[in-house]
Amino acid sequence: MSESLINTRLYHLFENIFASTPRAAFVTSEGEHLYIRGETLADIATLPTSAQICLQYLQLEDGDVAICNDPYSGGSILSSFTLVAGMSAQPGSARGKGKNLADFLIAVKLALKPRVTLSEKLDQEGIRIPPTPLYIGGQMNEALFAAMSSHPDFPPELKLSLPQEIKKILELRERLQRAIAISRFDLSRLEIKKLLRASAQQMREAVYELAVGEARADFEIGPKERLKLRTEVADGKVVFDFSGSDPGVTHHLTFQGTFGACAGALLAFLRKPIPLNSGTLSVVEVIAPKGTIVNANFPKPVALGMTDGLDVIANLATQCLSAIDKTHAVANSGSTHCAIEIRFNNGKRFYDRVHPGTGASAKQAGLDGHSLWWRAQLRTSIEEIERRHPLIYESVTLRANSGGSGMNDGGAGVAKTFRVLEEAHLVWSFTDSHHKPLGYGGGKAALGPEILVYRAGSELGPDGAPIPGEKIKLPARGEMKLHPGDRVSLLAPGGGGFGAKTQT
Amino acid sequence: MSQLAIWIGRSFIELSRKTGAEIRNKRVSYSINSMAANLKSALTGFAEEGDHVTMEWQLPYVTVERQLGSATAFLTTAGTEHWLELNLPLVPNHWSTQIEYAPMPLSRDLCFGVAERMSPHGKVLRSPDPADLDFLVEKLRMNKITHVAVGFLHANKNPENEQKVVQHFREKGFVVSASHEWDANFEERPRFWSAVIESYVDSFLTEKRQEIETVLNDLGITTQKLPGENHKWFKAMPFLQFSQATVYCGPDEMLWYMPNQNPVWKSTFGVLAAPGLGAEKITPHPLQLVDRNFWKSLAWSDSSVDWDLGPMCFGKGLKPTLLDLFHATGKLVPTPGLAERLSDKNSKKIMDTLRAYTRVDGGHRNENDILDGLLRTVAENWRLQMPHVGTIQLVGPLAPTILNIFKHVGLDHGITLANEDFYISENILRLVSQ
Repeated sequence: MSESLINTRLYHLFENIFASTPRAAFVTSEGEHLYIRGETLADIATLPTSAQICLQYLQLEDGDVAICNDPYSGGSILSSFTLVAGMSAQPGSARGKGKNLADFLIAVKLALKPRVTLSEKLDQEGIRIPPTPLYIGGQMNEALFAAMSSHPDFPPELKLSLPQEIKKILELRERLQRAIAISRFDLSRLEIKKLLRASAQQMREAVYELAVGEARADFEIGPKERLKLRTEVADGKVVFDFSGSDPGVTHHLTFQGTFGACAGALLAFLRKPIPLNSGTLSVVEVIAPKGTIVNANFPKPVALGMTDGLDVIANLATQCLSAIDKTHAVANSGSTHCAIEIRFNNGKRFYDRVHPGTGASAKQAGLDGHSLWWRAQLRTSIEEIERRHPLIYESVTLRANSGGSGMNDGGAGVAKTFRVLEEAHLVWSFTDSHHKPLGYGGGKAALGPEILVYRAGSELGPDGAPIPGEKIKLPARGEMKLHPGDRVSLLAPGGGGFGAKTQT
Repeated sequence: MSQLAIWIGRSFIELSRKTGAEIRNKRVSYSINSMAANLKSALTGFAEEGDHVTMEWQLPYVTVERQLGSATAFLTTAGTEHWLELNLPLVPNHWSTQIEYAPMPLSRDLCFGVAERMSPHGKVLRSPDPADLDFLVEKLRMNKITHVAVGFLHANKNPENEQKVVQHFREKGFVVSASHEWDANFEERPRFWSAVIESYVDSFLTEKRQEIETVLNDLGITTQKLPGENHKWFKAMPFLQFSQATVYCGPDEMLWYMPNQNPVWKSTFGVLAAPGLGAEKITPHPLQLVDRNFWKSLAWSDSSVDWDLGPMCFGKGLKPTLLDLFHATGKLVPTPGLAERLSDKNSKKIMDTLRAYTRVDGGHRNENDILDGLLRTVAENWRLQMPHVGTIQLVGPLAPTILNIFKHVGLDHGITLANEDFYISENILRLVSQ
């Protein structure tokens, strides 16, 4: 049977088994990634790396489950936890490493509500869990679970859901074992190498279709926080070199985060359905000097870098690729989500963000109101939020004229305004660069992001709410008190326009 | 007097007629454009004057999926006019710099905000102003819009504001559907979408219903129970309940049903409060096109051919589908309703096209191995999506074909054909008789 057919069959097997698990990876004990499925750029490299590091430190056996969220051990942000389950090709038949050590690892990401903090150190962003054995030898490590979940920063929703999530990942393992056995896949090291080689070959062919060349771009996140990128497409490979970039001040990414953003940019630029595995990712080389924005040192906080920062990197990489291959060129997309957190006096916290618009291309206008780099569906409900928190949404709409104009206009960002009904504390942190999402080939730049607070005025409107009073434009990060009737507006950037607008 | 049941599915019409203890069944294929004529021809010689007919159909779902509905306005709480659109899934579902929202049965230009507000606990914070509504009425009339859907935040807690708007527009002659008419346990998006689709399908289905009424009246079948009373098109379908795990095998859909399955409708634009068919889709379905994938292996693409136009084995299409593959490899069982449409005209062309695809595989395997590989991949894919239960029964016009394929690749363990040829129309008849 040819590698192409086996790859196809195996891919469909993973797609079916992981159909309800949008963020997952399947990795061999040798560190080869056979399948990665993600919703964010961070997922591309962090999921398999978490799995590898868990195996390396914990010697997982078939049916064991570990947990981790440490960004410096393969995680992304502290509110995203990764469960890693060990798996043998068949129950009780590991490939001969003495004990019943896992042949494969399944990694699944559990994304909880993120935090917005103004921390200087990672540990102030939440609880940090290095690779930790949680379910070993068929039993929950209750003492460890109790210790972990009693930490004040441990998310209460995770405490409730974790046993269920462990059950789910073990069910995935059983389904995979059964399906692999029924379909009689040979997943020996030699076969896997052949399969990944076939994927790498196809991916090189896809890259060969791009123009060859080199391009440079830079992006100033803030004072003394400049990113520099040189991108080279040649010999069926793409190199993203961040040499010369500054150390991070507000944005700090791990190497895996940067790699995922670059790989995601290339995949998006190729516009083809490309399966993610070690073979296809082998055409991407990332040079990210240690200690810079793109490869931060512990204990730098990563919450902003591994969210907005990923979009910044992916947009910069796309800008370079667009300069090299003009047939696929696309204008810049918005790079920030204007994340905020409101802490109410009852201890509840409300997190929200807005999607930027995407850049236009020669073929189509940019998309309104959805990030290019965030494939998760919004699952929030206005009704549910208003039931849970003392606030009222006044509008959730498209920000007028926020996309850059052009032959094809850039997409508009989202604009949200809500009014708080009780005293609260607002914390915000976003990428408020003077860089606006650039247009391409004569297309105009889009509007940049803004967060505004309107203090409650003394008069009431037709719905009994105070009409807006003083308007305050917020800087890139900070915190402030909110009073009843105050309004907060999150205005996402748009996407750049493509081509000069023709006069009619 | 005999009882007659009609089921208009996605691509087949089924008829069941009960006289005394005897039940006769019939299945014919049809196309939406000539549905009435196809139905008339199927009924001629099968039904008799004076029969009592009960009809059910899948057409409301097909209308949404194939975008056959007509323009509807959507009135929602001011400030949230784009909320439904902003929550649509994205296409394609892989990383791409060119993404779009999935198609929706609503135009952005026809979404209007109404200055009204309800608190999360159902307290009216602001009532809609009749003058604002009159302005909207004029705007819609200018645009020749006759159908309106209304979806206000927290109308599930208190429908007062929605009801005022519904009444206002009905009095002005509009056909109106509203979100509070659906299950209040659903959040705003499933309720809003349900109101929108009810409105979206109304014109098309009303026309189709009238055509069917005419056909039945012409045949003297005047005692009629047809779907769509009071413009309500989406409702639970108890005749689609099965006592065991069942896979319905049609040419352009494969669905699996579990006993007592919740009929939540997971549409391409999100979950709806309106009930669905109570089934999960299995992919690929037989009318999906055959193409080469990333590894240049023969596989199926996301595109499919329309049943009305037909695949190559019906002597029509130009690109091979999985149904053509089944035909070319001798796996297709020409059951009634399907046999009449098969044509030998394109048999050679199908094989030539499939052969051309197989050459790209690198010449390592012969074409039979390659076609066999595709059959195996398809069957494995189906099996992975089917429930893990003891026995699964296959029903529907392609059931013998699908079983053939499972047998061919050795994945038929626990899969059986239903004891008798299964007719949804017969299930309808049974329910009517109870």
